[in-house]
Amino acid sequence: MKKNKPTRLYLKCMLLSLPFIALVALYIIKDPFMVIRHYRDYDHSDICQCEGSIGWFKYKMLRHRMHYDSFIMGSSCTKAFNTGDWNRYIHARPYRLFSNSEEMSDVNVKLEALYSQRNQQVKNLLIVAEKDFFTRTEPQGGVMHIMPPDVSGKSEITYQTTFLQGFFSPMFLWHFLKFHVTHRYEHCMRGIINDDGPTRTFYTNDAILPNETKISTEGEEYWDDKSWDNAKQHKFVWHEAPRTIYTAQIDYLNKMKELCQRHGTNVKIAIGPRLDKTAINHDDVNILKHIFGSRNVIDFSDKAHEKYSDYHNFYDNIHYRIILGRDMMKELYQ
Amino acid sequence: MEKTEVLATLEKIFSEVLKCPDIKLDYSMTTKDVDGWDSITNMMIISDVEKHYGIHLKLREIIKMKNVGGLCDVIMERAE
Amino acid sequence: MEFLSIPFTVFIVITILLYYAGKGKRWQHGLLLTASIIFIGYYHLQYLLYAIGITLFTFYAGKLLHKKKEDKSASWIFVGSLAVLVGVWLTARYWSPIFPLGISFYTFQALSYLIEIYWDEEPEESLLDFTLYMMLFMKFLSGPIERGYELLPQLKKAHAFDYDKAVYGLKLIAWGAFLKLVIADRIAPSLDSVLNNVRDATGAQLMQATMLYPIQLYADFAGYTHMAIGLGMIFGFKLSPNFDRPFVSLSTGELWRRWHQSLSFWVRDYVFMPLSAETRTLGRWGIYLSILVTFVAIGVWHGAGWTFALYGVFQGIVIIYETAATKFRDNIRGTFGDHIYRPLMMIRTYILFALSLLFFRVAKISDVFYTYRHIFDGMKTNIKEMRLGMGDQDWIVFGIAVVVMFIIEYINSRHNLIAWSAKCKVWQRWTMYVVATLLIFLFGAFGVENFIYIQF
Repeated sequence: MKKNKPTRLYLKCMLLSLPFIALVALYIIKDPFMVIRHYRDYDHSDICQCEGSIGWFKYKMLRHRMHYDSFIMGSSCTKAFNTGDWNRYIHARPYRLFSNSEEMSDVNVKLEALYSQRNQQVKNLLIVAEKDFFTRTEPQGGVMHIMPPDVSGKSEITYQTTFLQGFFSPMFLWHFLKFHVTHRYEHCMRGIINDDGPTRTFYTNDAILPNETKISTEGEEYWDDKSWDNAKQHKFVWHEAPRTIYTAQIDYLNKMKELCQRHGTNVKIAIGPRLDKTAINHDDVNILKHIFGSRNVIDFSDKAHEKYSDYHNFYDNIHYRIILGRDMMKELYQ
Repeated sequence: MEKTEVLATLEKIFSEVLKCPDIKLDYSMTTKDVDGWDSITNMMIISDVEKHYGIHLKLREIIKMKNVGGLCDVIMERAE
Repeated sequence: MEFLSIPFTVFIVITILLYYAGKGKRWQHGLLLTASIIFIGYYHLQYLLYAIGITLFTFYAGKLLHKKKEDKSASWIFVGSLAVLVGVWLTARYWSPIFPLGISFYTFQALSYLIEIYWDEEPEESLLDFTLYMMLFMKFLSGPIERGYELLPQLKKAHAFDYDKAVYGLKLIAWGAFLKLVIADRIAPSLDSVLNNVRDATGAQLMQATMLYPIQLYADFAGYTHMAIGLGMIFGFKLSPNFDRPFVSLSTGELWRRWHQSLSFWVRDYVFMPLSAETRTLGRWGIYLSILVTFVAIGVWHGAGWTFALYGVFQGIVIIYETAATKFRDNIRGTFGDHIYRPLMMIRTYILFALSLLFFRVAKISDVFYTYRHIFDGMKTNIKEMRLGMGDQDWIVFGIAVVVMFIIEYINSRHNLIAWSAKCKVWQRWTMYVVATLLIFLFGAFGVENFIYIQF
């Protein structure tokens, strides 16, 4: 009689969960997101990583040796801003501490964590922003955004289980397993599997830019793909996005500014251009200038900088090139 | 007053309130068994019952009524 | 801990293993209490302190009330106790920096407990049993709102392991997970993007989001409820149902007998009935007034702010109309016949509910009226905007899942599918288990964090 014996149910549940248990074991062994154990080399992963977490781990690993005192923060658009180029203006010890689709609230959380590190100065902060950068007042979660416990204040359990759940998400798991079985990269794995080789430098976390090499080799052919047609045919019309900075955001920005002022941090904000010529709302820019100072905020998406939206300045429909980044820094620090 | 008489009266009251002629009730019926009899129409029925018998039911009596039979019992108790 | 999270999975597995490893009521109840304390405290210690405070207050207030029931002071004790409970709840809702999760649910349980004692029920003697009644973790966050006379007797004995019940519970959990992950969480980000910023959306997007929101809300809340009830079954408890196919309702009144039943029956029994009894001398107007007050209470229970009160007012006005227009509606039914009347009424009820839910969902009243004004605007919208940021595959999965949900619920209303599946052959059952697990795993939108009703 099968009644009244939980053992039988437990065995059946275990049988049903065997594949999941096996996957958990695989996850722990492989540690694809590189968050369970510490590593010497974070820059040669097969998997697209949580850049915020990886950047933080590297910073902690190297800070006593490198004595970083200046930081570039923002989304992956920070790839256009090389610390070497930046150092010509700031003469300091810079590090690129960026994150996937980073926003204002994520920057603030990292700043607070930096200030709380022993003997950590933040002399210079370069924020690379976009039109929606200032919307959120709470840090983002999820596998691509969550920061380690000593930054986010969340528990280690929450941090680790976020990545475990990310591992189990079918979108990730399917491509991960397929890649590890076939050892072949496919286009549909983009965003999950990293086929570009090392993506960051070791000491400064600068972006390694294979697309820049491609452009040098291919020239105009680089932009031959259909995805560039709208840009090439000048179908994009310059226009402003709706306003995003209201009372809640203004309060938040003022607190950020006070925090930076208290620690003697020199803040510069660069609002990048877009291929589709969508500019940040001018009201948002005015508010930012009022809070951080008009010399410290430059909107490179505005009408005056419309030429920056030329497709030759872009690697893809989001990321602008390092040559544009250099021009932007020059204008910001002149 | 016989319980059957009360039941017959209730059938008339139910028919009027629920606008459904010739409703047939039995003592075990609840709101689930009579179409249209819900918490809203229940209070209309109670109100009409009170007017008909010249009685006033307490809240606790109304709440504790589980079915038609319960309502009959309370009416018989109060109307005597 | 969210139900669908790894910490909760680990927590529940350990709790179940230990529950049936020991023997006797004391062991089981001690374990459940410990588990409930861990579950509640995991979020925030303050939530635990609120829950314990209200539990202790209610327990001793109930004993005092029963002791003094023949005394003149009974009504003062009664009113005073209710005032304290409602006062604490209102303070937490309007003034506390941290809103204690679950407080709306267990406060209503506490209120119903005291009201039943005032209406001559016996108070609970065991503080441990009462604490479990109030804080049992599986129903703590979002209900169902349990009545003392339903749950307390179940706490009077130890629960021997029942294989069939446990399996039934697991299947319910799977169904709840399907609703939550495949339907609710899939559509949530897209609807949020519109309903959080209505003034940035086109008319067609507003229409789409408004009409789809009831489905998201239902799948989210019913999904949670199924999981809560399923978990209860594994531990040997029978928790109250909360939903009964609300979208087949032919009127808003009927919808509220099928939607969030534990709440609507609570306000029916403890707000509407006493109020309508007291105002019955006013005839129909007494009934209408009671309906309005009851639904404002339902609205306000959901949240601070005028939007929630207006949500309740909207429901109340529609139900008053339906009550007043019964004859007219019956005439329409007689004229057109059920084949036309029933689908028309279902659509009408759904649309009214969807429009009313804007007060529930959208932060500002002005934004609700903005939506009403613009909902028929953008018939010229292109298909790209109608995607609401979701890919074609996501829409297909969502659409099929919603149809599957309605079909399964319809069949289940006639033949209990879970009981039927237990009678299938071993290979059939295991095929269903593996397919269900794969479907949830493959098509679930993992990553959306909170149940909507957790904020109450």
